[in-house]
Amino acid sequence: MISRRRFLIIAGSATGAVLLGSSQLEKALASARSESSDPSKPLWGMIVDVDQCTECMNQLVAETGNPDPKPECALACDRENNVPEFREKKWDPQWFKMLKVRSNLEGSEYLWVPLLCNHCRHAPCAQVCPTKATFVREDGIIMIDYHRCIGCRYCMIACPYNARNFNFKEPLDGLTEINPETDRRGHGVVEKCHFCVHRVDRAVKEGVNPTPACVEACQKEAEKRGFEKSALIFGNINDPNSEIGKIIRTSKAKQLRPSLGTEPKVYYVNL
Amino acid sequence: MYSTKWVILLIIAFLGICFSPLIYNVSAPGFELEMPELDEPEGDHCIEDADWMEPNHMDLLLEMRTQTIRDPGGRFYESKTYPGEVYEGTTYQCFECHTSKTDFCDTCHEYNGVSPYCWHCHNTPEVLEEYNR
Repeated sequence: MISRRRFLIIAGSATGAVLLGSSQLEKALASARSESSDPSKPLWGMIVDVDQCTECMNQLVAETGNPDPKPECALACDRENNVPEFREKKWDPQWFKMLKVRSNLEGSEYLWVPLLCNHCRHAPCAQVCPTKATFVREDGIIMIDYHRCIGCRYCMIACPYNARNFNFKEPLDGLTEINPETDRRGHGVVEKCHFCVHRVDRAVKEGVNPTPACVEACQKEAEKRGFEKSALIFGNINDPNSEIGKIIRTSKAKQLRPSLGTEPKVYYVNL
Repeated sequence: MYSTKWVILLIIAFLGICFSPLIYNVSAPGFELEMPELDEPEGDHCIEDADWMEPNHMDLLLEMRTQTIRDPGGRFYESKTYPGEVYEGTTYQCFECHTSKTDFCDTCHEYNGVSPYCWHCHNTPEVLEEYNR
């Protein structure tokens, strides 16, 4: 027979444990459900206008006669971040790729879609990295600590956007000019786009809007070709008054492969 | 103690083997005890006190590298010796004053027998000169 004293102790502690557990659970669920949107805490993202990209690329193809030309934005990325250039595609790291896609239907036209690291909110690459070399930075940029990367390429398998590149060859062999302000990568690490994080950090310190190298090149190219606006827009998603914040909140900006739940911060319009 | 003679002889032989690398290096031709002469950097002062930097620069670099990569505002480092002066966490910043890696970094590192792997990826003035001619 259980004594009254013992019964009260057990019943009381059980009730307490249930109450404590449920309140904690509720808190955790609430924080997971709502994304913080404090404009002063930036969350960097990008918008790509596929129509503009297709028009620019079609003009470029007509000008050069090359069926797969490298546009000014990709070249600017290579120059800015010392991305090496190798003739064989399987060894050539590219942070900013142009994909030529079209639907299966007869008579459909080709679209040129830029593909870069999508900087997912729930990044699969960061989840699988065994050394914590890849991680989601506070401002939403997916960074690789090249010092910690062991080159296991788990992240390349995990990435649903094929945005990651492995340095199979010594990058110095594929470079003709080096930007002194950024580093190169070593032989045997994985590399990818980081939204020109050095530019972002500098711009935040100076209090201006950051422009990655590809966005800057796109603006120049759009001006040269006489387009109304540039195809790439970079900015703070959390700020509802920024250009990118307005477009995401008011138009049908799409994410790539949304069914996977990775929640990319690179959005596509007119795709 | 039994067999004192042999024990002492063996101790001396053991110490001799232990110190053989030192003895070999000291007696090698071209051995000098002087500290290596470093290239005089440009600019007024280093980002921290130069006497502090000499033994501690590697710890500072490690700290700065982690902050620069992991912390959104961590790219900019404020000097503790010279308050108000802000430096960017890149090796490019170092080479603005220390214009040569061979005459500055390597001289000391070779003397101490250390080979840091910074330069597999970070650009040195020598590499830049070779590629950006």
